[in-house]
Amino acid sequence: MIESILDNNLITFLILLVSVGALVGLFIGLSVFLGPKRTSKVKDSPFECGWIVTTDAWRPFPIKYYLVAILFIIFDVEVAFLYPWAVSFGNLGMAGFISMMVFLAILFVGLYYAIKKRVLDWR
Amino acid sequence: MLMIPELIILVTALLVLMAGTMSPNSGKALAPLSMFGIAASFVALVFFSPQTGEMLGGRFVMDPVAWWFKILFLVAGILTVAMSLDMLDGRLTKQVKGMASGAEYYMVLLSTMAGMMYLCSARDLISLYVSLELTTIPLFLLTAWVRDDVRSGEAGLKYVIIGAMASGIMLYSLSLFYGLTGSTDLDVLRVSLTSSPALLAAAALLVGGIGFKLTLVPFHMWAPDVYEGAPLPITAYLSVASKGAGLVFLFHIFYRVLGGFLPDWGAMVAILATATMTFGNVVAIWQKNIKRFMAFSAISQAGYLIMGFLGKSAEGVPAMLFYLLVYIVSNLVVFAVIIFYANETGREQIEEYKGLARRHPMLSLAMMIGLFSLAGIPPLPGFVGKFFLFSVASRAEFHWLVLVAAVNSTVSLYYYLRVVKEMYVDPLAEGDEKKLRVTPVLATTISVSAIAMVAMGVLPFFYEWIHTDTIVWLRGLGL
Amino acid sequence: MQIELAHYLLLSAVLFGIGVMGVLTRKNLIVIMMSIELMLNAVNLTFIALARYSANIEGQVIVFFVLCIAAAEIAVGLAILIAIWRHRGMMSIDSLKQLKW
Repeated sequence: MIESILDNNLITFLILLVSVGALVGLFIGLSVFLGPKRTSKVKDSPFECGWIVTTDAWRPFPIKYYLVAILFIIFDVEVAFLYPWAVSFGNLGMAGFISMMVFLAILFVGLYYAIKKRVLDWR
Repeated sequence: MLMIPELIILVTALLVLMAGTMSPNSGKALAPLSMFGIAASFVALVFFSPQTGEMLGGRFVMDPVAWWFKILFLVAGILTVAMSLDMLDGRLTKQVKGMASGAEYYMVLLSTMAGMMYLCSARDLISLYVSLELTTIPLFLLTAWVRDDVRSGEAGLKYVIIGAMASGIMLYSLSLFYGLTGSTDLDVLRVSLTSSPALLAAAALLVGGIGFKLTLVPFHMWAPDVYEGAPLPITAYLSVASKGAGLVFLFHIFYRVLGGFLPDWGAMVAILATATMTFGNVVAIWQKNIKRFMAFSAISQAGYLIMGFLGKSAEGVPAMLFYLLVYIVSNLVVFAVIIFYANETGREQIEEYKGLARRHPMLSLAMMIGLFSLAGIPPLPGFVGKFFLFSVASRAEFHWLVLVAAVNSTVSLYYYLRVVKEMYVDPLAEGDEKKLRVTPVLATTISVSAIAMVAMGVLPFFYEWIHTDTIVWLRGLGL
Repeated sequence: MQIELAHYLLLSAVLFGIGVMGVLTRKNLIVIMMSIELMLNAVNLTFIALARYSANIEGQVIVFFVLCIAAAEIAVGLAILIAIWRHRGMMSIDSLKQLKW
């Protein structure tokens, strides 16, 4: 399997990789060395639809949504397990059904806890 | 049913979480509930679970070494719960602000224990990886537990970044193993792996990834920061359980999968061991904070521990297992006293241990015995464990390594004695004349584990027991 | 040129390397988290490619678990990051200076 890395195709791929890198480097280098550099304060400031810039681009922003977002991630990923289970539901029989129910029950304990802790309340 | 002990732990974790939401004053019942769960799991493991057997089509296997490791993790877990009690119930002199509820704490602690126990029984790359992550991810959370303490959060974040990177590297090596054989079953891997450059790359990446867990130099750099920032009981748990998990993983890969190749890699293991113990010892001398000091001490202990991978597995495996057991108990005794002192006075610097022997003679004695055991002074178990490890290395013709290890042991005695000197020789500081009181739970924890530690060194049958069990295990593997 | 296993493996090795370099060199903590994700997804690509070429389903199964664990890891990492951010208001690794690295 991995021995097939040492294949002829690999050489062509490497040549492609190197030549693409060289070409990109050449273009960027040319524009850096040959291009004129005229900077001014107005030109360097970020463009905000014609407005005068009020804050730094890295200013803190409210993220009270993050708990909901993290909960969403967990239930989003859980669905990834449900699809293969649903496709092969007929073959898995009772054991498959019970194990998935246990899995869901554990997840719902977490959801119950989150609701009980008022994580989902939008204050 | 082989999985009963693990299931008990998981069910207890969920019960604790639910109990936390029931009523606001259920907080006091949570620690007893989780300790009861761990004890029940222990009983189920010792009395009702057979030492060999398999279920789920050979993907969950019980064997004597797995049994021993599960015992280790359960012991470490119950001691950690006992040590966390004062912190979570708020019996501290300097109050810790911004801690989440005890229910979450115990739930997360129990899930990392469950992960470690599943790790012992895993026989498949998938379950190996999943259970290792179940061990690690809760530990990130526990490290960052004190929300208002900037150091705790910072330690947690560093741990997440380094830990996630390490697990990514390890996963890459698992993918190479899978690619080389087309199977994820460890037993299939063993029979179908052949020596090749890709196998060497996979093994190197794996040692890199697991080296983070075992704090082998040069993969150790997260340990001092994380140990210092984490809440004290978690530092104690990290220093023993995380090492145990790394060792289980290495046992699976080195003995179960790569058993035939291991003798060729002796030089690599010896170099890692030398670097780890020397670095840990030299840096520990200069430490002022007791948590950082214990972190470097833990690093150097990992160096002694992996000496067991040299030489014949029939000698190395029982020696490593025994040393890990000794290390866990000794380290937890020392940490329990550190926790007691920090709880009562809020102090964490070594020089602030001045005159502790006059303020609480019994606990100072326990701490001294623990430190001496870590340093390896006979007849304490640390000496016995080191003796077995050193003899493994010397029989594998690594005489220079034994010499280095012996010198390192002497150096370590110097810095462990420094703490003892602060406690016993140095006079009390001004205003410290008041005797200290210890909570009953912590007193019981410290005395029971100190007695168990001394017993392990004096009674020979512990080692013989481990030895017989591991020989059975190794014979099953054909080593 | 036909695309073969070696190309997939090379691509995932390159992606993995980019991830490792990102973790080691970037300053912004969010970007570091993204680099970790990149590492894990590079490994996923390896697994999928190997599973495809060895006609063996287990490699695809492990990808599900890796995805799930990556989500959990990042959820935990972001939660800790936000806890710190509330104190410092900084997202740069340079702000982590309370403990000596």
